[in-house]
Amino acid sequence: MSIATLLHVSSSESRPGTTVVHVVGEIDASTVPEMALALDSAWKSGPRAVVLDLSHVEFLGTAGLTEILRAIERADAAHATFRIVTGGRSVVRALDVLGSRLPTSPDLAHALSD
Amino acid sequence: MSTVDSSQAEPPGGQTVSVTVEKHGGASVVVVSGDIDMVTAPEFEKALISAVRERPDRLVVDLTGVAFLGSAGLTALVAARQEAGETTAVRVVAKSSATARPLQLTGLDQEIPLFATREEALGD
Repeated sequence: MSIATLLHVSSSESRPGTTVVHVVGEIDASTVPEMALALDSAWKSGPRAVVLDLSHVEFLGTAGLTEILRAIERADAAHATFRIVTGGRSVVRALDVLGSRLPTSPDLAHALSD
Repeated sequence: MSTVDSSQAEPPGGQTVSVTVEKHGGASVVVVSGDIDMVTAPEFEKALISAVRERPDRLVVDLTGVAFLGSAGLTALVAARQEAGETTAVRVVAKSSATARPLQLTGLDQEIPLFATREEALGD
């Protein structure tokens, strides 16, 4: 193992019932558990909406895509809303393979506007 | 029709997935049964990718015998679709709520067409 990839994850309740999970860094197989944990605890609070803010993510690998698909299923089961803030080009490209029906927003303000 | 490959994964958790590849003219049919979860998805993905690399005209992934399709399995299908590019058309056979619903819910059925039966997926 040469250079460790770093991921910083924090959560905030931007308004009652809406949890925003902010992710900064690179999402790959080694760092994704941290994002998964943050999403898990976001769902546990029974929110109306969870927003995954990837606007400061430089790399999104397939392990991250799996977590995003899980979040879509979880939102449906909880009758809640899930949105992804895409931001950078690498994230947009990585998400592109999941198709055009993904619930994405170009920025956080847009994601919180519904 | 000939069976060319068969593999099985039996991880400690007791979950199993079995994958068989059959040839139907220019199409390869990947017949899957069992549960596709975090543990078994790598085996599923490996089988899909090696089937795609033979560059069939069409790759039909028959999930009729699958009881659970988790998000790791969905990502494996996406990886196969990516690997297939424009060379191979990837189609999925899934009818049950356990398999068709996750694909529809996530919108992946827009990228990977879904069919109720293998015959339909092999048709035009």
